[in-house]
Amino acid sequence: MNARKITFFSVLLCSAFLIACSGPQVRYGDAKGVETVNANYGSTDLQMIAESMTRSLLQSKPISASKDAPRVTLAEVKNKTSEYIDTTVITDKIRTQLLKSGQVRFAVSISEMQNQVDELKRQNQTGLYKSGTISKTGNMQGAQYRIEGSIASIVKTNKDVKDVYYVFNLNLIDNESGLIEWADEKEIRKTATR
Amino acid sequence: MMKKYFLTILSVVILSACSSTPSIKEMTDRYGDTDSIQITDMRSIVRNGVLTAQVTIKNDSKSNLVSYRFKWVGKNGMSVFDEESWKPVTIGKGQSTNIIGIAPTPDATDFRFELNQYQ
Repeated sequence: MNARKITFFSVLLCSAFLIACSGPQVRYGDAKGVETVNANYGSTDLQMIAESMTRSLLQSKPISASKDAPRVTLAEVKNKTSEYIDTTVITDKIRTQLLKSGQVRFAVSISEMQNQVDELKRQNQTGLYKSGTISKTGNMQGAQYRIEGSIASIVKTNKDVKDVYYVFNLNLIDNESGLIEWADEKEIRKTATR
Repeated sequence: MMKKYFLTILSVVILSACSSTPSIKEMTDRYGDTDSIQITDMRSIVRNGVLTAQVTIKNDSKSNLVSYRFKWVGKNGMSVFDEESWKPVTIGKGQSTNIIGIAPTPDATDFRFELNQYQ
């Protein structure tokens, strides 16, 4: 009887030990799938915002009626929410999708300008490059339009429910005239219950 | 008399074979339990050079967790862009809603609608 007990406890101990030793189970998921881990800003929100804004912008008059693909630059998207949201990821995603559509050309944004200047300086001022292969200064093209916007949220909670409402606004502004040529918004509501 | 009858039937068969507009069912792919969602209408138009689709869905059952996406295809039936992300749609019992999809590129000439259950 004692021997059976010892065997039983040994097996139990071994099982517990094995379970404790086995690491977390890892599997790949669908990057495009709906993510509902919690009510905070997530990948589905990012994808929905970028997709909605890009498609709406592609259909706008300044883009669709233009003979040549218009030159656009990315300006700031302000985060007015209480959460940390990297808004450059949203604008980068919008830029990638717009560029892939072939309907828009992008001029370097303010944040990328320093790298552009450094590269031109390196090619033109160091004397290291063959003259015929140098990208000359003074040939950069200015953007006709800039894209800027904001993301804001309203969060309400009680002990059982957390309700989050996001609104993302995007504007296309004519740099010369200062007119807002296109604007759209994307609303998202998420509710988490215990 | 018999010849005339036969010719009429033949022309009807030829005409129906020529009109290759796919049905709503053929244009929809369903994954998981989405049976409570009915697709009542599907139409498209080219607006400002870009294909725009409108799909009307209706929920017959209790509130369901369903997501959707469009698949945009070109003339040869090839996909013209990356796969879209699944977008959740909240639709109450008996409620009907229009889902608008805009093609990501002017190369898209046709679309497919995909419905998926999530969670």
